[in-house]
Amino acid sequence: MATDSEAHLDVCGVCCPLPLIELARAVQALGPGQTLEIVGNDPVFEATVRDFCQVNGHSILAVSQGADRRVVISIRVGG
Amino acid sequence: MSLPDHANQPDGARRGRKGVILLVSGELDKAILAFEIAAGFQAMGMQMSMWFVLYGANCLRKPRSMLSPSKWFARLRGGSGRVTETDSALQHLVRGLNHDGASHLPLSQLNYGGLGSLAVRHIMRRKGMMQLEDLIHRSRELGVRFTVCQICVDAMAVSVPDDLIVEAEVKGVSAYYLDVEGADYNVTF
Repeated sequence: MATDSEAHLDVCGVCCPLPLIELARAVQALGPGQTLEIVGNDPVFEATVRDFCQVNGHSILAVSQGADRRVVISIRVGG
Repeated sequence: MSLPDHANQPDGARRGRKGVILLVSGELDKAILAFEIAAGFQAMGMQMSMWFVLYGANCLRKPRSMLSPSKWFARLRGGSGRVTETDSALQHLVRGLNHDGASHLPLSQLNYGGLGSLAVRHIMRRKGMMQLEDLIHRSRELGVRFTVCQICVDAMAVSVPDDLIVEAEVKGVSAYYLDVEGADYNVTF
């Protein structure tokens, strides 16, 4: 998926809580203001990412639905 | 294995939210649930502590089959929290009958002599879920703190750290009190 995000993470094929764990780890490696694109197909994937961002002060930049229940979400790491 | 830098913790951890999970059960389903919550909450930013008492410590032990001679006949060893002078021969029996290791835990229901556990593990693999062993290691990597009850370590002859698959502390009820006193989330499985 070609975007200008600083980091990409694919968690398709795994289910809760693994996408959350991988997301937290990926965000820890980034600095404030950097962007991450994460793609997953877990049924609660989008809600998981939204909850994580809300609790930890990150912003959701874009959400798009792909084929095979894939959801692509871009987030900006909060400061 | 060292804990991650505090500075690298998610914002939630910096705000000081803490959670405590007490695992008493030595059953696969409850252990999976406890570790999924611990790892998930830690990822969300809460500093999680897991306490292991009685059969709850079984999942942290190195796996040993019921047929393994070392399970029944090996010398009871010392370790952190152990008082070997008061050991009893009956502890050999307790150690032998106990299920050692995450891969040997039974289900709380529908176990059918271990077939239920195998079925659950198969379903988990198909669904892309982590196996209990992976969950334990992943929780530790995320910074979840593991503590085993000292009395249980001594009574059940667990040699810490030699018998465990991950690093864990051995502490008593006063330390558990301190953890629980400052916790925003506190559950027992």
